[in-house]
Amino acid sequence: MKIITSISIILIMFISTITSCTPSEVKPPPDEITVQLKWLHQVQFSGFYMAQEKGYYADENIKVTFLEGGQDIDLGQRIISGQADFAVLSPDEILMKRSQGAPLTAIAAIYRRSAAVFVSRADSGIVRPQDFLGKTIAASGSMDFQVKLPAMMKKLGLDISKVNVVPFDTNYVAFVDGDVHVTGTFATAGLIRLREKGLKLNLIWPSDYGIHFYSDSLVTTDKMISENPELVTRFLRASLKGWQDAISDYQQAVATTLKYATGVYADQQLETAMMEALLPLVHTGEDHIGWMKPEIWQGMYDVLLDQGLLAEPFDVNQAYTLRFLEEIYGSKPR
Amino acid sequence: MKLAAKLTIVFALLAIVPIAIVGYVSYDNGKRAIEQETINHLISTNLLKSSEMDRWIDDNKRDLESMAQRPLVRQYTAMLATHDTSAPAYFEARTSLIEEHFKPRMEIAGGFTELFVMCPLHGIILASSDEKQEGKYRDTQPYFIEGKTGSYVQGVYYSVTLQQPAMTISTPVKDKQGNLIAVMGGQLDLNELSEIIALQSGMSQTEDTYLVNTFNFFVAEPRFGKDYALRKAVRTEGVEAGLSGKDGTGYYDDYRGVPVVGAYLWLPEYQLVIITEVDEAEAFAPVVRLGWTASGIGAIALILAVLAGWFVAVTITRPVRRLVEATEDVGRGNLERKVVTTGKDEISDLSRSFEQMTKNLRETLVSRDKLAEEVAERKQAEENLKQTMADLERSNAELERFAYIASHDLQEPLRMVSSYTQLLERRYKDKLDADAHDFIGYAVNGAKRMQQLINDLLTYSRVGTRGKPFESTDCEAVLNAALANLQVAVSESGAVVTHDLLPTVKADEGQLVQLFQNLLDNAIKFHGKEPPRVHVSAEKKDDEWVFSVKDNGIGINPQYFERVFIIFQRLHREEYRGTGIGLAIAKRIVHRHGGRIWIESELGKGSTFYFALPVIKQGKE
Repeated sequence: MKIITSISIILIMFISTITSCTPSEVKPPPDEITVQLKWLHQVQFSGFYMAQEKGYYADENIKVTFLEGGQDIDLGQRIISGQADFAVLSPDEILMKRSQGAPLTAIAAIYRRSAAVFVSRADSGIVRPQDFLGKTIAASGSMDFQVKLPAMMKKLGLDISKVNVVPFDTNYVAFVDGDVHVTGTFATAGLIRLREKGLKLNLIWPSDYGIHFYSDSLVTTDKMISENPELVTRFLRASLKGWQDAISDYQQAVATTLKYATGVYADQQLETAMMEALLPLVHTGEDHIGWMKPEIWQGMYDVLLDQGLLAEPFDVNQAYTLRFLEEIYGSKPR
Repeated sequence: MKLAAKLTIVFALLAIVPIAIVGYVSYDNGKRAIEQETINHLISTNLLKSSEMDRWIDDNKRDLESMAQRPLVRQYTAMLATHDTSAPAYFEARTSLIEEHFKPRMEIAGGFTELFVMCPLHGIILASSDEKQEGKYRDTQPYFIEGKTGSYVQGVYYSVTLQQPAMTISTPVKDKQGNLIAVMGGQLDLNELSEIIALQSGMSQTEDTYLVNTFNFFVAEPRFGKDYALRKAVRTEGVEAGLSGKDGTGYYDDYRGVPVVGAYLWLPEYQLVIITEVDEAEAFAPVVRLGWTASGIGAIALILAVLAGWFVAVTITRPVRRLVEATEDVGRGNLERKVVTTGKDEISDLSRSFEQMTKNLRETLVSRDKLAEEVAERKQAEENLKQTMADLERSNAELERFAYIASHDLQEPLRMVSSYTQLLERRYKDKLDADAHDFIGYAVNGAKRMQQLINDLLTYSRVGTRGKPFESTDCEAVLNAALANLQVAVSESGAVVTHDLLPTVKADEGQLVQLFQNLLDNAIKFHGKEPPRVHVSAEKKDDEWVFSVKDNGIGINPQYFERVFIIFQRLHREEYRGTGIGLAIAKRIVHRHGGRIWIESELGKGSTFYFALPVIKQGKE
């Protein structure tokens, strides 16, 4: 018994000695990175919180700090200036900044369906863009609607000038009052609130009329990609794993989000409804989570270029890369 | 432990081992059979459901294809594809297509929630049973892209437009020359699919069949979930195994966390896994019941075995107990106790042997009783003897005391008689005549003789009362002392006394001198015409010294051998002096020393007096 004990002690000491000499066992200090979110903490970013809380970032030896977005915050500038290493941005912003020479590259599309949708009252008879002619539509002031509405109209050969475009109002006052016939909204946010008010609505999706846009996409700088591609892979892998978990168990995702959320978003019922709405936009039933298609990027680029929102034409393929997705998933989309 | 308890336990053990083995084996077999049956059922359910799903999809696909080939449908579709939406012909064709073909098909056969045609260029929906869908672009949808070249089934995906899961079939619409006019599509009614998949074939309370896509999402609604389709992911062992392209079965926790038996089947055609599960609790309820049944039968068999064991034990132990009771009874002395035996087994044999033994014991006891009686009688006799001896001793002692006292007390009056008679003779010698002198002489003589008799009697009695303790005594010295006392008689008679070497014995020396003196005196006294010759010798025989005093005297008639030892008995009153006390005293002395005395003699041929004394025991003093 004593012999066994002493042998095991010696073995343990020996093993600990050799392992402590092995460089691979010594963890280097974690890479500290900052992630700029598109908006305030809410379920929209639940996958990132899941990755953080479940220790997926820690497993990759990354220490992540989240920065909330806000009304007056230039998200693109945050990452360009180096205040953030990664950012959750809409693809149109990525493309516009890129056209201005900002070295931004999308590495994954978290929301592969845009939550942006136009709604009319169910009894209004407005069911398709053709019905928009001569109507008042709240769309300007928001990139999501300001870009998509004319793009959609143009695709259908409709004259945008026959539409009375008014500023988008997040409180939908004029729409509820009936002064505005159609308003842009988000399936993950405004639509829920409108339905809560008891309104019966027709949904007119830009994607049904040839306007395919990604929404929240993960972006980083060209410098990060060239200098530290391995960190990009680690961060993306952990983030996608977090998103996979968020989708698998969205109730846990909501609970995790509530650790971060404050103000109006610290509301379990609201967050749950939003989560249920955003689930299909993330997983879509097609391809891997985060997967991107060149034709969609091309389509988005074409729309923005057509509307003169890009400073200079450029090769759209520079604005995104499948490299990290393929490294994580393999080259097959699903 | 009692025999009955032992036997019962042995029976129980003998029963329990085979029962346990048989019970376990049958339980195990039953369990395997039930498990296999359950698994087979789940697998066959999967196969059945997937083939039903195949058939449902195929039926709908064929319907769509046949509809796309209808001449009128081609005609209307061609009109839609070639005319502007505002043209009356367009409107007419659209209405006809929807009212005459799409809606009847949907209303009669179901299967589709929407039927529509798309223009071959941009995938714009030209006409749809759901008016709201018209004008929408389907150019990026796989069902449009694939549907241009052939029939295509797009597996379950999330339709943003419909805001629900969807499954779409498409097929090309071609003109007579085979040119593509349009693509016809149909949205399958997934509720119908869910119903087909979920429809329970049996009475099971928990059997659950559902579809899961490659994102781990439910496609068809599971039994215990609502609105799970493409909203809820499921990551059970069965799903993961199925998604890795395997077909099989397993035991795991399902999406509710309940342990289930599940079968999974990968459907590569639709990129779906079909899963059929049933709660282990329900599936194995028959196993549990079987276990209880086996245990119950085992318990009953065990009870029967115990009862049988108990019965046998009682059958065996009852006669044994009876025997034991009889033994105890016999042990207490009741030899009349009988053991009733009728059987032919070993116990009965034992009983019979016991019976025989009891019988023998009875007989033995009878002889023993006789023996005891005899012993008692002997003891009584011994007792009596002792009593007699004691009486004898007492009377002897009294007699001795009497003799001593009498002789002593007799001396005094006798001396008075003797002395006054002698005084009378001396004082009146001259005044008395001759006769008076004679008379006085007679009286004095009589008194003297009386005195002599009394002295002898006193001596005789003193042998018993005045004896000294026994000490080592040299018989040579004793003989010399005796001869010294007889010096006068020896010299007068001219006797010659010889002797052999004499031993040392344990004796009262004074009495021993007296003994020798008396015997020698007799030997010298009773001589014939020749001078006496006396020889003394001693011889050791066994544990006693036999002394002999042999003479050549007148001898004794053997008829008087006893008489000579009696006190005052005299054979020769006239010829020889004496009172007849010598041999009586000799005998008394020998007896006091634990010896014996006897005579060998023939009249006229001398006599030999023998006496025997015990040899001194060495070291025992």
